[in-house]
Order: sequence, then structure tokens, then C-alpha cells
Amino acid sequence: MNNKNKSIIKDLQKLLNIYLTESFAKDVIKLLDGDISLKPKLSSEISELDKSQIEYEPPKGTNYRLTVDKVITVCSKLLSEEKYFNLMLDLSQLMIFTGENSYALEIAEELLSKLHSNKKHANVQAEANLMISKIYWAQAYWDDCDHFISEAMSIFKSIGSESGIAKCENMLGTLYGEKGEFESAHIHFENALNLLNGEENLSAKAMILTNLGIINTINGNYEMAVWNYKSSTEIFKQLKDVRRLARVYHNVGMLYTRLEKYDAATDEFNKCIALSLENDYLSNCAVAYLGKAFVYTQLNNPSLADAFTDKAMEIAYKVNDTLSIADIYKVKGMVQSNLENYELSEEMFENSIRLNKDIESKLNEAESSDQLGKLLLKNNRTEEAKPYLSVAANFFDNLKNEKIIAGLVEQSI
Amino acid sequence: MQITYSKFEHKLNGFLKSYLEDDSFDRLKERLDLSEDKADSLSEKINDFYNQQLQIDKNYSKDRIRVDRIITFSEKTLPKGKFCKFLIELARICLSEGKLELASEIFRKANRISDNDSIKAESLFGLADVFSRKANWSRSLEAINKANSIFKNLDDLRGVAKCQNFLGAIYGEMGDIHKAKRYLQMSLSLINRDEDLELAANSYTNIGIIYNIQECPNDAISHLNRALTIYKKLGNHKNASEVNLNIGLVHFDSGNYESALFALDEAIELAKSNGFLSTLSLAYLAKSQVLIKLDNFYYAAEFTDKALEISHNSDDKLTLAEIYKVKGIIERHLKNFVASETYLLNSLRINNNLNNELNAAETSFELGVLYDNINDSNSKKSYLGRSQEYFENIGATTKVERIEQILGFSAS
Repeated sequence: MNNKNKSIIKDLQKLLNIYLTESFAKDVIKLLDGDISLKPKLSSEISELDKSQIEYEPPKGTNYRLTVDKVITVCSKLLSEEKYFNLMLDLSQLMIFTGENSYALEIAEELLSKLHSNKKHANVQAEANLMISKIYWAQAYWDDCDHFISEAMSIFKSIGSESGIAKCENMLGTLYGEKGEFESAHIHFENALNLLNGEENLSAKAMILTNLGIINTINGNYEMAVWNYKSSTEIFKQLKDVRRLARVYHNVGMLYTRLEKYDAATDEFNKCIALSLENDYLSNCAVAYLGKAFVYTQLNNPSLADAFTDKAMEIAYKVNDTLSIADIYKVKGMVQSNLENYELSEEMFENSIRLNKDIESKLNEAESSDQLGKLLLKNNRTEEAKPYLSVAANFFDNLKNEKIIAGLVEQSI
Repeated sequence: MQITYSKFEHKLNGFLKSYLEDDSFDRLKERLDLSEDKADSLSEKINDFYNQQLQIDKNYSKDRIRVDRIITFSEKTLPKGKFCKFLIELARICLSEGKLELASEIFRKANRISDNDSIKAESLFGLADVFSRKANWSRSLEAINKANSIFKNLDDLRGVAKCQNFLGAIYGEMGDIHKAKRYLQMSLSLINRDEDLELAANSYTNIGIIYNIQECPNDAISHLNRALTIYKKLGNHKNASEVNLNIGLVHFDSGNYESALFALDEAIELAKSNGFLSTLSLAYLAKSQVLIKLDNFYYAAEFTDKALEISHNSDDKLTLAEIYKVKGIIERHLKNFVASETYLLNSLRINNNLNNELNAAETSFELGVLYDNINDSNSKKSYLGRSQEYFENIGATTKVERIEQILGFSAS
């Protein structure tokens, strides 16, 4: 195997030799030995913008840690208790955006442990629980996410915080949405919106509108989705919240992708990537890179599509975004299918389906199954294709939008 | 790297301004700027041997793709029972490589799909290991107790012994030395030491570590050497590397720095060539502590920063807290007292959060020394007092005498 990290290769080879027959193990190792990345002819075909995006080097997490740890330690002496706790919440949120999920969790857990013996700050305690639920959600740990939403919800209810309950409803909506349960997701988002009154909580309102936009896109209610995104864009611009604004751009890109308006989609993905790279918001980057990769598969540019999926993979692995990793395999499968490398394409779709099953992401499982089914049909393997096509058909029958195209992860907020 | 840092710093500054009054903000900023890393300017000063020790290959996302492809392939190919066993082995490899999230994902999968109690127990054991490496003691204890109870129901004495040994290690990490020793001895009593060599060696290692904490270096070395001989015989490089690290630490604590360096270089060589990142990080850190004693502060800083990079990436919070302690010691030696204080307080804060009493007591000791250096006698007494209480409790008399000595100087 060509990987530079020889130690894991050695271990994997040993393991395969134990579990597989010798000849089988040899075949697998040989198969894995081939580099699945294409060698892009980048110099002649790539725009300066794409080149800069692909060559982006994510920052080292240690830079964040060294600074933020000092801030947390020093500010404990400088700030009032309440301000200090809110600072920790904001630092945890900042680390989520930079893709430092483990560190974000560490900060939120530290905050929670400080609050255990302190009943004065129930609101912060609820927010910390909600923050932890977001961190687990970002890594597809649904049970943990659900547990912490319940904790937050119960505290917000006990103090009668309607905006807090709305935020929990929004989070429940994103959880159900990621699992492909769109009806439940829609109900939670509507509940959330109804709980927010007046001009307060503009940010929460914009988040919910964005998420409703995602559900409307998936359900094929494109006009409604456009209205949702337009409203949330205006609010985030007004609030100068570039982190979330970038996410809205990504979702608008997704909408155009579904409408097969690839130039417009690319523009939106580029806007998302530009804002995210400028601020090193890694959590936005993997999906936006993947968005571009998908567009390039549709525009028959497999080299660029593959280069963007590789970059998406690098980032998704760094931030432990399993949902995106599963989708990356799907797009890799599409790239290989376009190149008529059917065996590798099939394997990539299988990876995607397995991971999506593991994380119970029904929409993405259905999309990958649809792709694999079609690939098998193309290769005259009708019987093998049937179960995959049936999984896809069963799922999509429940959605209004029958023309769902293999795509990517929308990014909830 | 600098540009990236500046962007982040700019953001953070804007953010902190909303929390802090102007003068507090300026004070904090001054403090943050004080100890900007000197690592970049140090790189060229590192000699070839050290430089070679610090070079490691990392190609994480490609490894993830490889592991995913292997799982998908094996799930199709192997019968379910065998596939689940395979997953456990695979997750263990990821664990030893410091890929905690991937290991956790695979252990969870094995736990979810297996109908076999033994596999379920093994997957819980693996998850307990993942949680303990993140210093998440409550979830680690929850998982190991579940595993222990399944092993008991299966009359699997070896499994129970493994759990007891693991519990001993966890309580040792938390600094509850008496409890740790009890579990380790119980583990040894459950196995046939001549037959179950690996598990016996695991217990010898942990008992050796406890002896070192209790300041019995001869007993510590003797147990660790027994373990090392077994691991070498079994070809278990990972554990051999860990034992070498611990032998190095015993020599370090005894003031035998040459012997310490020898053992640590062995540990680094094994860990580096086999990609055992979590051991490598600890060995780098231990080496930097020896280098501090030898007044090689620049090299010490380089090794500490490398350890920081690995530990942050693998979310090894215990080691991170130790790294801050060592960074604090380095800065103290360089007479950068404000930076030293911040690092040591970072370390103490994290150790307190992790309920790690031993490391908190050690950091409190270092803070006491710092305050002694800058003549802050109240803070000195406070931190040394906390440290003294813990070390008295575990019977570490040399450490207690040292603390009394420093406190005595202040009284005179």
C-alpha cells in the first residue's frame, strides 16, 4: 500500500490475514493499494479560485487551544461569574465553527461542571446542555444529542424561557431532519417559530427559517424555500453573523443544485467557501466543498470533482463529520461511475450506504441506494439492483418531491 | 500559520471586547501576547537526532478511507460473528494509533450489531478505553462496569481480570492510589500468571507505576522489567513502548537522567516507528522534562510542542494538562513568570475538571515553587499546602519533605 503512514497499513494487513483466506486478503490489499484519487490535470484546467480552495490548509487546532485555554484561565479572575459563564458558552460555540468539536465539548462540559453546584444560572446551564447537543449532532451521535436536548428543554421549561424552548425545538428539528424524518422535523421547526415573538431573538428566528428552507427544499417547495433563505440572509446580514450567513449560502447552493442550475449553485457554494475560509470556519467547509464536487460531476469534470471530494474528506475527517464522510463516498462513487470504473464506484456507494445506515440517515441512505441501484442496472445486474432501488423508492414515495437528485448534505443551523 | 493565528486572534479580540472592560482587555491581551510560541524560531536549533525523533507521518483522512473500505468489504464477506470480532480488533488498531473517534465509531457498531455477549463486553471494554483516554471517567466507569458484569455472567474470569486491571489503571489516573492498588492486585489474583502472560504483564506495568508514585523505585523498576520482558517475548511493541516510557519516568523521578533518556529514546523509537501516537506524545513530554533538568530548555520546548500537537489531535486531555505543566516549568526556568503562572493555572484548572488529584497536586507543587521564586508567600503556602495534603495521604514522603523544605525556607 502506498500510504505514507506505514504502521497502520502493516497492522491492517496482519488483521486481514487473520480473518480472510490468504488469497482473499491479498486481493483486498492489492485493491486498497491502488490510490482511488484521480491525478488531476489541474494546472491547465483549474481556475485560480478553485486552485486556492483546493490548496487551502486548515489551521492547526493547537493554535486555538493555546490561546483559548489561556483566555479561560485568565478570565476566571477578570470577569463576573455570569459574564465568565457566557464567555465559555461563546468560546464553545466558536470552537464548533472552527471544527474543533472535541475542544468545544471540553469547554461546554467544564462549564456544566461549574454550574452543577450553582442553581443561579439555570439559563446558562440549559444553554450549555444545548451546546453539547449541537456538538454531538455535528458528529452524528444522535442518542447523546437527544439526551442533551431533553436536559436543556427541561431546564428551559422550569424557568419558563420560551425562546429557550424554541431553540430546543429547532435543535430537535435538525436532529429529525438529519435522520430523514422530515415531517417530525417540520413540526418542531414550526413549533419553534411560533414560540418566538416580536423583534427579539432575531438570530434564533433566522436559524429556524434557514432550517425550514432546507425542509422545503427537500420537499420540493422551492418558492417557499427561497423565501425562507431570503429572510434569514437578511437577518444574518443585519446581525453581521458571517458564520451562519455562510451556511445559508451553502443551502441556497443546494437549492440551485436540485434545480440543476449549476452555475448559480457554484456561485453560492463559492460565497460560502470564501466566507468560511476567510474565517477558518471549518465546520462549513466540508459540505460546501462537497457541493462543488457534486456540481463538477454533473458538469463532467471528474478530476476537479475528485479533488474537491478529497479536500472535503480531509476536512470532514478532521472535524469528525461522519454525515459528510458518508456523502463524500457517494460523490466519489458518482465520479468513478462517470469514468466507467464500475467496480470502484460500486464500492464507494456501498461505503456510503453502510455509513448512512450506521448513523441512521435515511435520506442519504436512500440517495446512495438509488445511485447504486442505477449503477447495477447499467451493468445489467437487474436482480442485484432491485433491493437498492426499492429502499430508495420506499423512502422517496413518502416525500412530495419525487425528483430528488443525488446530492449532498444540507447544513442545518 | 502566523496568518491563520492572526485571523483567529483578531476574531477573539473582537469577541473578548464584548465581555471585558477596556483595562481588563488590555491586561489579558498583554498576557496572551507575552508567551507567543518561540517554537518556529527554535526549529533550526534542533539537532539531527532530535529532529528525526520529532518527524512523524500523518495522513489521517486516507487512513479513514482505507478503514471504511475494509469494513464495508468485510461486512459483505465475513459471517456476522467473525465480522464483529474483526471490528473489535480493527477498533483496537485505531485506538493504538490515536484515532479515538474512529475507534469509538467501530466499537459502537460492533456493540450494536452483535448478538454475542462476549463481543458486547469487548466492545464496551473498548469504549471504556476510548472514554478514559478522553478523561471522561464517569462514562468510562459506566462502560467498564457493564463489561465487567457481562464477563461475570459468562464466567469469563479473564474478562473480569481485564476489567479489574482497567479499573486499577483508571483509579491510578485519577490519583486514588489505594483503590488502584486494590483493583490491580485483585486482577492478578484472578489469572494464572504463567499462562496469561499478557494480562499479567499489564498488571505488572500498572503496579510498577503505582510503586513509582509511592516512591518505591526499586519495586517499580522490578515490576516494569518483568512486564517488559514479557511484552518483548510476545512481540507486543505497543506495550513495550509504554513500559519503556514508564521506566524512563521512574529514572527521571529518581534523578537518573541518563538512564531516563536511554529508556525514553527506546520508547520514542518504538512508538514512532509503529505509529503509537498516544505513547509517543507521553514519551515526548517525559523527554522534555528530562531536558529541563539538563538545562536544555529550547529542546524541551520543542518536544513539548510536538506532544501538544499530538495530544490535541487525539483529544488526550490528561496529557494536555501535563503539557501545560511542563510548559509552565520551562517558562519559570526562563524567568517568564507571568507566562509560567498562566500555563500552570491552565494545567491545574484542567486537572481539577478531570478530578485528577495526583496531577493537580503535582501542578500545585510547581505553582508553589513559582510563587516561591517571585516571593508571593501567601500563594506559595496555599498551593504547597494543597499539594502536601495529597502527597501525605498517598505516602510520598520524599515529595512531602521537599514541600516542607520549601515551606521552611519561607518561615525563616
